[in-house]
Amino acid sequence: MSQQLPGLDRLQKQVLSQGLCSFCGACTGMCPYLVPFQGRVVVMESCPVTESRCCQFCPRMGVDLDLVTSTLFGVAYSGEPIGEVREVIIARSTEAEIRERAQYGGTVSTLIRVALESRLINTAVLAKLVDGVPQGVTVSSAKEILDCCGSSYLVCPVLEAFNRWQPEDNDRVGVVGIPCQTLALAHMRTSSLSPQSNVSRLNLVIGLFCTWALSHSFRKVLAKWAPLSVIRRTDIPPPPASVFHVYTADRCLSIPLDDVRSFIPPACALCWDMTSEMADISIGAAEGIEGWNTVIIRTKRGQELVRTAVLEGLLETGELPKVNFDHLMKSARLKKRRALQNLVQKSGKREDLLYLRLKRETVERILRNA
Amino acid sequence: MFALTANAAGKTELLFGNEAIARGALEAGVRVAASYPGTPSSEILENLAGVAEEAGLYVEWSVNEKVAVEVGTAASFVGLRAIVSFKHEGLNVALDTLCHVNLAGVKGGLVVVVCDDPTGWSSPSENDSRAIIQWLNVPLLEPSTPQEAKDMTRWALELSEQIGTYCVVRSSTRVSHTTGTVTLGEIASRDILAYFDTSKLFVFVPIVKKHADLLAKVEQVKEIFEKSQFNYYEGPEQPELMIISSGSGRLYSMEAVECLRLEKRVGIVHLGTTWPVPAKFLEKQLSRTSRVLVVEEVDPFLERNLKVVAGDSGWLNRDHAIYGKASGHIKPFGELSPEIVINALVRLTGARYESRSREYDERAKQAAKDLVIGREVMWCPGCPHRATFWTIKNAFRLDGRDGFVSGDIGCYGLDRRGAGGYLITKIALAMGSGTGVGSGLGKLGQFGFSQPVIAVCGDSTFYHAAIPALINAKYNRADVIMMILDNSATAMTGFQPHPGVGVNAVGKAAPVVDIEGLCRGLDIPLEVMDPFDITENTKRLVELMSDRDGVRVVIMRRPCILLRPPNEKPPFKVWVDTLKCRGDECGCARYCVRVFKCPAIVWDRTRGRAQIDEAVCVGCGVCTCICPASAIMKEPRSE
Repeated sequence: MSQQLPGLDRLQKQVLSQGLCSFCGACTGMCPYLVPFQGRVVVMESCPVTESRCCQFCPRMGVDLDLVTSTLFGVAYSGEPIGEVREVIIARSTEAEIRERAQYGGTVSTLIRVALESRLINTAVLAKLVDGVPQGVTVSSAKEILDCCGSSYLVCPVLEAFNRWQPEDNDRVGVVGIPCQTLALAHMRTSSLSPQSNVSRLNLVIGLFCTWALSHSFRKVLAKWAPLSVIRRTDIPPPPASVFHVYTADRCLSIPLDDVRSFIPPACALCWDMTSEMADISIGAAEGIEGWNTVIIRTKRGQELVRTAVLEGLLETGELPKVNFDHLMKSARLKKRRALQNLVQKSGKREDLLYLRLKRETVERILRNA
Repeated sequence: MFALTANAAGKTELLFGNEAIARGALEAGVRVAASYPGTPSSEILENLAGVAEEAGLYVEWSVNEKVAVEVGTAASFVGLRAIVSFKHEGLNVALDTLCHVNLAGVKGGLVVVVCDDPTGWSSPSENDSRAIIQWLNVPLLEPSTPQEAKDMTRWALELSEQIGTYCVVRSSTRVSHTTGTVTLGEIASRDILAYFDTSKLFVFVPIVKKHADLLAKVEQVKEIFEKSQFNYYEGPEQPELMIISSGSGRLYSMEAVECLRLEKRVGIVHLGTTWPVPAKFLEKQLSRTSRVLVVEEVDPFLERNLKVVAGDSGWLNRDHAIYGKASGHIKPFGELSPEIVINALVRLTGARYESRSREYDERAKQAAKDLVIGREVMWCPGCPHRATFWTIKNAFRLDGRDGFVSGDIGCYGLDRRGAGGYLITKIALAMGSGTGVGSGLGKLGQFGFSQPVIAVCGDSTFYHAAIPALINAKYNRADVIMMILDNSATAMTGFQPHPGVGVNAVGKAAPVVDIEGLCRGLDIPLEVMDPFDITENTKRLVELMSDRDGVRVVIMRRPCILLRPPNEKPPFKVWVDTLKCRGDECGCARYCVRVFKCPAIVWDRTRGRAQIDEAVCVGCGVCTCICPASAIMKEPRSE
């Protein structure tokens, strides 16, 4: 019966009003009914469409992880802490300009540049801070990539820009996103409505590590520390620092982490993925190795892209120390377990994971893992 | 063509009800007329304004009905005859003055014409004015035809002068807006020099004495009404049933009696003077029969007063009965119709009546549907209000705190009434109330109220009654956004001028009372927007709503599209690019047609695409901003 409800009504009932929305942007940019605004997806009007893209693309509705990983990697979902892996390394850009502006080692910017130059893609969808507000943008040049360097930690509807993008004949696109966004893209691929999306043009997904993001109401806090327009990036140094760093052109401000945590959207507590498991390549900090990234290569395409970047001398790589790998696994495992616990608590039933469809034994294994 | 000022006594002309009232005023030698526009009363002043110069009248559209009464009263105080007219809603506004003028008394004849609107065809209520007139205790006359409308107006002015208080003529939509034959009378020549006799006082004190004087005047009027030519009986000497009617009820009764062929069984009393009640006249009529049906518009006013007369005279007993609204024979709400009276007569007389079959109605409806293009109640194409309410709606959605509009009286009320509205107006009371209620809501933050409120009012409404509310909001630091929808017109009532348009009632240049200047004088932050800039305006409104900081005024300024001269070309050619519009494949679910709802955008069923109806489109170009596929195009029209 509920299937007969318009898709937007279902999205509102099951996701938006339940605090499940992560503001990934997958449901927006395709119609006038859903608009991302200041960290919220706003329903502008009721829509009568029953089989709707907003519903089918949302990474917080009916995600069958076995189907998704089968489509992407040819295997059922394993429940392993960092997902399907071909290689885990550390890497950094060889270009000082990128490293200076990048969050850590500039690997993401470098790989996107190489992907564009090698014509793997001709457009990339990235997040960019515009007057202190993060928004999705489409880029196609090295300079535009540089303008997108750095993280704001604010939720950003990157996929709105992906949906808005209007490809021409042979255009191919790459997307850089956090776990909910890479999952949404994978979910799009499995949807019966995928022909009505840009997903068939998607040739590269670079995922970012993410523990949580911040709602836009945090901008008011940020604004007290520095004008939003001068903030270049933000970061959380590893424990025991317990601070949130805000970088401007000439200084670094430290906000107590306790003042920041209350701005974490409730949806982040229900996210089981720390390393963007549905990407070709996933990239994050290499804790304790300053100026380097941890890189998880998951697909053949990802492997080839990294190899090209190294061969062209734009990327240098190294081995990830075991202690770092173990720590990565532990953190990812913890996030997965915590998310499932929260989902079970929220639904009230161990077999009901709200938006996730997962084999019972996988659930039990994740919940057992310390 | 009939000239309102034609001195052609005895000639019969076809006159509109309100035109007849204006003629009656001229025949009585009226010198001053004042009004505030409102259907169904507006044409009274419009007719007088049309002959003002020729007839040597002073005619004005006042800013509101209270001021109109004061202007008319001023004329009366210096010995001139004056007519003040407005709709029933206006009586409420004028009441404060009227309930003191009745005590103060008048010198020159003063008549107040109140036009009721049963069913509220053009009004936010269907209030019956008569209970208020009874409370004011002034003479009340109710015409049933244009002839009576003219004659009663003339007579009421003479009576007013004779007894020293104002008289009220109560019209209604079906009297004011009916055309009928009228035999003209002489136009009085009254060359009176306006002079205020300073030996006289027009004040309400000493109150008790003034009250006693008023009651004495009522007694005097009662005697006059007993012999009034406006009260009479038609029918058999001893009818089986007698209808007592007033106003348009008389004609409905005549039609019903004729339709049922009850002329030999049922008689009709027409009561033209309904307050004070001519008790002796009514007692005499009651003695003809044992059963009475009262037929009148809206409230059982006459019915209740008749019951008092019948009770006092001893007529009302077990064998005698009065039927009407209290007995359930006539419904106590909505406009009367011959059908309603017929049904009451059928119940009371057992007469046979075969009403039209339902099937006939269905067939007629279908035939009409095939011939007539269906039109919803909605804003005109190109109406600035559509763009404004679209903007407010979107700003509320983006703000996300369940904001709403505290509305007012004007075309913008279609937001809540019409199929074309966006239903964001959640409060609508009276002229100026939108801002007053908004001011009140803007002080409830301490009790947890955090929803944004936009109080809207039109430009004419602003002058009429919103200014005090705005001052109140400023003085009490209310957190509210007042939005003045300045379309340079009193559009809903027919484009009568107001203090903002630079023209007066007779079409002469007049000083403009500057809304911005008034607001700036109050030191209230103000922004002027073009309603058609919907994207920018939406952003700005969201910002304004988030800055909760006292009263702020936004003027949405763009002339009503109906003010555009007929020979002026639309500014843009607007069309749908059928390559960009993907119809139902777009995923927008016909957003332009279904949600934006401009009547100029239609759905081409054959091609499955949106289409601009060139016959309807006025080329405003606003719709080009709302299409998610940017498929609605515009280009400036070349001369």
